[in-house]
Amino acid sequence: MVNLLSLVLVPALGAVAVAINSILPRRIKPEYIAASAFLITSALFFIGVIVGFSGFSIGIINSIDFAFTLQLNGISLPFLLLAVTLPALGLWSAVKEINSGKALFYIFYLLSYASLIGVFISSNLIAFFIFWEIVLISFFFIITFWGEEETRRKAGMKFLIFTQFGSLTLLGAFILLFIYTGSFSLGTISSMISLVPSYISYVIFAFVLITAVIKMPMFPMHSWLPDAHVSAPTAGSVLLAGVLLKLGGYVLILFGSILLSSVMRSIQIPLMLLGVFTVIYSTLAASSQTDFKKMIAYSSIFYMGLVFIGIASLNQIGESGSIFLMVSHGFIVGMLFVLAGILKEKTGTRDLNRLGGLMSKMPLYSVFLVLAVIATLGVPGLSNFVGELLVFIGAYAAYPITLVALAGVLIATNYYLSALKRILYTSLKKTMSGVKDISYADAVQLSIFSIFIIIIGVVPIVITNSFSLTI
Amino acid sequence: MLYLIILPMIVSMLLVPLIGERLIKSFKIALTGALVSLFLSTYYLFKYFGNQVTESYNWFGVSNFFNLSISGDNLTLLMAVMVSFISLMVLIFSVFYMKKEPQERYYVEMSLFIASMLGLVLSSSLLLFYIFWELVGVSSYLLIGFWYKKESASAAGKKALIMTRIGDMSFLAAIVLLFTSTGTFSIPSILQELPALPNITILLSGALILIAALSKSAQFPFYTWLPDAMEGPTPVSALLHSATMVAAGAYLLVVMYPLLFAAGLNTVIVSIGFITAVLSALLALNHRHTKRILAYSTIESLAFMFIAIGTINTGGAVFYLMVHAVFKSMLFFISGIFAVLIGVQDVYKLKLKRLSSTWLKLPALIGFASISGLPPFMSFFAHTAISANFTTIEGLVFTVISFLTALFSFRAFFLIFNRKGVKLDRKVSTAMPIYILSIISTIGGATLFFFSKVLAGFMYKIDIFTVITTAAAFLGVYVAFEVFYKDKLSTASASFKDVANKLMRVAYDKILFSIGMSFVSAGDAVGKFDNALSKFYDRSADSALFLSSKSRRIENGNVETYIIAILIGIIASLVVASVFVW
Repeated sequence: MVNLLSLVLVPALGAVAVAINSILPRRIKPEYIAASAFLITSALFFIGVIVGFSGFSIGIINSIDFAFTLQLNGISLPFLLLAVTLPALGLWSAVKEINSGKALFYIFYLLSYASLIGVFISSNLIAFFIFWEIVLISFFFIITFWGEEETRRKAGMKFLIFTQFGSLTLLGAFILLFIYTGSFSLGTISSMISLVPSYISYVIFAFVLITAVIKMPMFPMHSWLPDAHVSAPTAGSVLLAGVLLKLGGYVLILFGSILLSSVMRSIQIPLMLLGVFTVIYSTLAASSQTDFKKMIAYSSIFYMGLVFIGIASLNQIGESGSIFLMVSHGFIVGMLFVLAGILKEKTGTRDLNRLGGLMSKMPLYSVFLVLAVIATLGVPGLSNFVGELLVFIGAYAAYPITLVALAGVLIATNYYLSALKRILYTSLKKTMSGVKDISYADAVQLSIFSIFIIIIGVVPIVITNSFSLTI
Repeated sequence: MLYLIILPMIVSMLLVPLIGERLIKSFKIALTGALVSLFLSTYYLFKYFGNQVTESYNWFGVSNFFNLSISGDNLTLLMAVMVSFISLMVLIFSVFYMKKEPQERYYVEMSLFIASMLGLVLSSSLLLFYIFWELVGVSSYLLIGFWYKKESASAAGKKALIMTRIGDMSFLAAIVLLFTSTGTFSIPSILQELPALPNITILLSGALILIAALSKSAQFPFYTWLPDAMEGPTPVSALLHSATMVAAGAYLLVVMYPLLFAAGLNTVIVSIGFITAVLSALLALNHRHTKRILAYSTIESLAFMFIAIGTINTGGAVFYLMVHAVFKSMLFFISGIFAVLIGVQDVYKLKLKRLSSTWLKLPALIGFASISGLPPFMSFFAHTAISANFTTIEGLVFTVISFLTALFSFRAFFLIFNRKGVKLDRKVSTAMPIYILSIISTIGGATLFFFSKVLAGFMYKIDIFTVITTAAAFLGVYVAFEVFYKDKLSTASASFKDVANKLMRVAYDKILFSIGMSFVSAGDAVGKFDNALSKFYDRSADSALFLSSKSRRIENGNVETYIIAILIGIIASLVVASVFVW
């Protein structure tokens, strides 16, 4: 049995080690410390998946209601997979991009890694919230200090203001839950949820909904996301789109559709319509982007819109589909951001109008880019398909009109294929004649992403059997 | 064990990049794969002849089981034999034709293409059908855009995928509808439960499936992607136009026809079929490029299949599909030989070259006669099959179409070939598939009686109408001979061309273009709005940064200030706390 504490402790100790290392006279590179922390954590996670995880609990006062408890809930495991693997996969991009203030960067990176894992396994709401906050703060620093020169301060501040507002409402929800059930323990709360008066449960749900809408993000609270992505370094983008956005979905499933399903059911149709609107809106907005990274950012709003529809469908197929889609999208969007980062690194630009014909110069890169784009379009055999299928079946059963969101997939096909054409195909631009193909290490990094995408797509039971919709 | 039929091509897809061109030539791997597939599908055809065997695999389960099942019966296995046979021919032809192209990429994509089509014809669960359906679309996108440096090729690939994706999404919607109301993906079970379903579900899912088939098979109003798809390498066109991709749409209708009839859509299918047939015959008459002419003729042949399905003659449609696959792939091979040996594919430019190689001329004659449905070729029998259930009016329209068809196909023939003239070199790997296919097209007519026994819902009829349509076709051949070979009436044909040009292509493309542009401008509008929204929110960030720049003065490093601030803070919190306690 692998103790869940180790998953949080190893990266946290890694952060401490990086800090100590930076003041020592003879230093080793912080990359190495980070890499070993990532390796150990991932190894522990995969061993744990096979042999099982054991929970951890330590009481501050002698009561379960306040105890710091790490425990898997029904839906933890798929999210944990994302939280463990994606930041580790993004490490190579960080190694290439981060040149100044390395030690500090890896401290923040490892801190956000530890606390992302912590969020998904803590079953105490105080611990949950603390981890949640550490993620946001470290990520704020990652954008503001290591982002792109012109925009990073503003984008970081926008990120902080939006997401802190979301944290505030989440804290409100937690406090209300505590007041009416007398406990911060998730297990206790779910068994005593009937004690919460109905009007209070509406307030709690409204708070959770605001958090989710900001965090996923949904229209009209999405505008922090494209800016944050464009400014963030590649590793940050992988973390942001791959795991941070999923926090919103996680919270909505856990506190919305599982804990307060009756409240959610009463406003189900407006929620689904919001999801459909976001889907169409974000695909249309993505069509007009010329920055490849910004296009991917808008398209991840699109997929989170589908996730939102799936959660709001409130039936097992739809909810499972949205969890599946979140996992799948985590890997795909991570891969796309890595690819966008490589594009910038090799050619110096992500502007689609200035690229062209790179396939002749970068054949290996093209294979990965085409694979990632095809995967994101939901072609069967790759991971997104199963998620989309389940979401649409679930959503149709709940509210047939939601099938309109299929039009979003069509528009997404259009802009992604246009991007492929403008990056890879047609004749080579003169300015691009010196471009080299990706290195061996890049190929390994991208291959791992592809392997995850293919395995999840071909053998979906690895995800569908890993969770049950309970607390 | 039916999946063994698909497996060789999947193995070939994986082995080609793994082994690498240097160690073993890629085409050898792909050819072996296709040969094994052909062998296995023939074996299973004999083994399961007259029976139906269904193999079901559970993919995953979420509150319901998501089953993938394949079935072997006369229809699916005959289709598998046909697909693997045509693929084998195409791969043999590719050995010579694609010699100078990147081998690995080509054979990986071809293997995926063939594997997905084999999977598609064997599937008996809608989910699995859809999976392969999408894979066929994606691999054809990759293959059409094979020459990615050409602007036109990459545009054509993109167009093909987007146009067919409209159908894919509508297919997916139909699957969602049917699965939600029946709880299963299995096609036989869904068709069994049809009477229990509400009318609206049947009508909606039937219409969605029809849209899917129309877009995949390049029928009106989706046909424009297919002529553009000629930008791909010729062997790709040969495969895409005959056994795979476009055939998938017609095959879907064959498999799902009880649903479409229950929805009462047969008249719609027949009318769309006739509209497409007339339109494509006129457009074929109008074009100069060999591959484009052949593309329009493919659209027309698919329209024939749709008409046959709409007139409740699915067996006839399948028979025509197979016959068409044989002669159409052969014609594409011939046009590919022009491209390689002469370098031009424009019929009027070919006319100037004065070609007269018998080894090409004879197969071409067989091919173009097959398009026109002339006796004694196999296609003639297929035409008697598709027209078996026609009413008088349909028969009359079909007569007109026969005339037009013969006219455009023999226009191409008479323009390209001369009685005497230049001879072309012959290579075994190119000539062999052409010979094999032309022999089948010539003597395969007798198989009509075999197919009418083994395929369900097969009808054929040889009566006075057959005589009339055949006569119309011969008239078309004669007119083509007079006008295009002897160059009489060339002004008439020129003016006709102008009219057709203006009527069909230009106007329709403009409409499609403006639809596309309206989406683009909608995207731009939303993008602008979103930017404005983002600017609006930016003020929050600006004000925060402004406040922080002001408040920075507080953090001046002066310890006294800090201590005072801390004291004030403690006092304030004590006050607040005491207020709350009291």
